[in-house]
Amino acid sequence: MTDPTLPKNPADREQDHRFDAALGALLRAEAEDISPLAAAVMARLSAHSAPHRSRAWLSPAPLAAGFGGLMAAAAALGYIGLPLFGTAGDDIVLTAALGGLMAGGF
Amino acid sequence: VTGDDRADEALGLMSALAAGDRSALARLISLYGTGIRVFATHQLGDAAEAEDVSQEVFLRVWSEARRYDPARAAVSTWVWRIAANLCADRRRRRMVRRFLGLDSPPDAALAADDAPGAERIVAGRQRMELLTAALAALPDRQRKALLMRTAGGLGTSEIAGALGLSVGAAEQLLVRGRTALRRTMGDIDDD
Repeated sequence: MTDPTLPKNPADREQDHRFDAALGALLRAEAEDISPLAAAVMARLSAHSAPHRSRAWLSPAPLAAGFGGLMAAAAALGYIGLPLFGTAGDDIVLTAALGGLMAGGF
Repeated sequence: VTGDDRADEALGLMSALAAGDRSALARLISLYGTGIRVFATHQLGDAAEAEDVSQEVFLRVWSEARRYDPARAAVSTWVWRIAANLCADRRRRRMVRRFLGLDSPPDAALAADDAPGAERIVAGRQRMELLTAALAALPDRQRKALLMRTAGGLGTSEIAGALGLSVGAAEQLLVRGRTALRRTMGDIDDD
């Protein structure tokens, strides 16, 4: 059974072809300049493929957490290790504190 | 440039894309960009959104180039399927946003003014607006098929592949779309 919606003869097909071509020309006339699209795609592509270090700085939470962890570990080690130095440990802390104060003062 | 020449060139470009050649992407945009932008404009009814989706299409082509299998579909079919899917996604999201009151419907006049070539003569402008309205009134699949044929220059089998239909069904969509458009616009090829 033939489909009644399909063109029956070559003349109809030729007419459809002309219609498509005319419609295409009408539609494409508004968007013929494609260079801004290409430029925008290339710019977005470059932004996506930025160096990994830049990406790390865009989301610094893991780095900040690592730094905080190291500081906490250093503080804990100092607290545990201080009694090993006995009274000399207090002197070290006092000297370091005074040194820091003077360095900051000048 | 014939359709076969374009298909051969596109196939070569896909190999270059898979190897990371950006100049191949620029060439692919020059082959399909105009048609895809027209398609997106008439699918979404918003020039700015259409531009954004067109960019997304080619970024997706770039990122998925290695997955492209020439045995499964022509390059044009594959690229246009991405375009059709992204437009459908965007329409769906917009409907949800409007339903939730996060978006308001676009101002049709403003959208037309924002379109490229806004300084065209009044008669041409009115005709284009009539065409835009006539296309918008078509059922979604008829509009997609007709835009793929006219703006994208796709053959019926390519349209069928991009829309996931049989060739006969795609041809029927084209015939019905043309008939409806002729009813509204007259024979636009009579000029």
